[in-house]
Amino acid sequence: MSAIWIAVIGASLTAFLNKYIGHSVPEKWLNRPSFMRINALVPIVLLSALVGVQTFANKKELVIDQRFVGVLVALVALNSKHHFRWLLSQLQSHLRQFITGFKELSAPLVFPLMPHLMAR
Amino acid sequence: MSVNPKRNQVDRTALSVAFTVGLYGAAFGAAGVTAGFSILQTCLLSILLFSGASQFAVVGIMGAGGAAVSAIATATLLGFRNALYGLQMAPILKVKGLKRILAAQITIDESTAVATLQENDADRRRGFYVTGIGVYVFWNLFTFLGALGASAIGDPSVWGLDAAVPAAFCGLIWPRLKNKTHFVVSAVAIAWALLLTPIAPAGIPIITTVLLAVIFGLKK
Repeated sequence: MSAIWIAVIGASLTAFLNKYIGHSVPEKWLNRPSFMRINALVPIVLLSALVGVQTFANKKELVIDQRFVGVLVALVALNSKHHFRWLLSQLQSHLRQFITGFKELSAPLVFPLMPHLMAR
Repeated sequence: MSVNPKRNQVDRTALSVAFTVGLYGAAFGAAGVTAGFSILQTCLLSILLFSGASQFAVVGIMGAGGAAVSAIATATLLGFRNALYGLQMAPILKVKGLKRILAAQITIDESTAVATLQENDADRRRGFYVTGIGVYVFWNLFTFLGALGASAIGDPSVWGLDAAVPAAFCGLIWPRLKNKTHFVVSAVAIAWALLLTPIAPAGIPIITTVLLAVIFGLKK
């Protein structure tokens, strides 16, 4: 069996065990403050390390190539998505003020869309 | 249970989350094939493992030439948060036997998040199941399409697909960085991994950053 198959099956098994254990053990076993803090940081360190290695490592060498540009573009996009949400919320509040005057007219049209816009 | 996104607010939220997250499955499918996994192996990760960050970690580490044990260990540590979600959901779902197995499989970030947004237990259950099953369906569908697409276009580096993998990871970390400590820890983890890369076997620079999480986690 190839290494990839071992990784696929092994990681799938432990992933399911993680999920199932949570549903099956008493809460006090896992619910400890320091434990919770560490657990919040685990995805951050592992994923950050993965970004670093996937961006700069070529086998054992560190290089700067097109992958770095891709990551920069992604970071700019993620950052502007954040600002885009703010812009959208501003637009929404203006829109709401505007439509109060035309409520009867516009309510059937705009209100079904509202929860959808807010969820964004 | 019938799902009605037009009438039911919970279903609406659940399905829009499921579809948006599911689309991201295409990035995973492409990443899997790019890392040298077959279409079958890539799809099996989405069917069986079904936890985005862990899946990306497995293909990332194996693609970089890491050992299977590093990939499994990293994926397991990343998946541990799902155990805590299960802990949170169990008293609300109250399921046993086969149903518990199914509920466990769809216990992920999104299903738990939508459930905790609701105001009563009935809506929490509904949010959990509709989101969990919805993400499962869309994530698997788009994984397959992404894998198929990536294998059709051949050498991924020509199309810049190798840049898409770390970019996809950025999308996974971004929502988790909630305060200054998180940013500092993230930066230290990157520095640590890059320092170890030239001297340690692939996978080790990543898995050892868990020590940093323990150190920073105990400090406060």
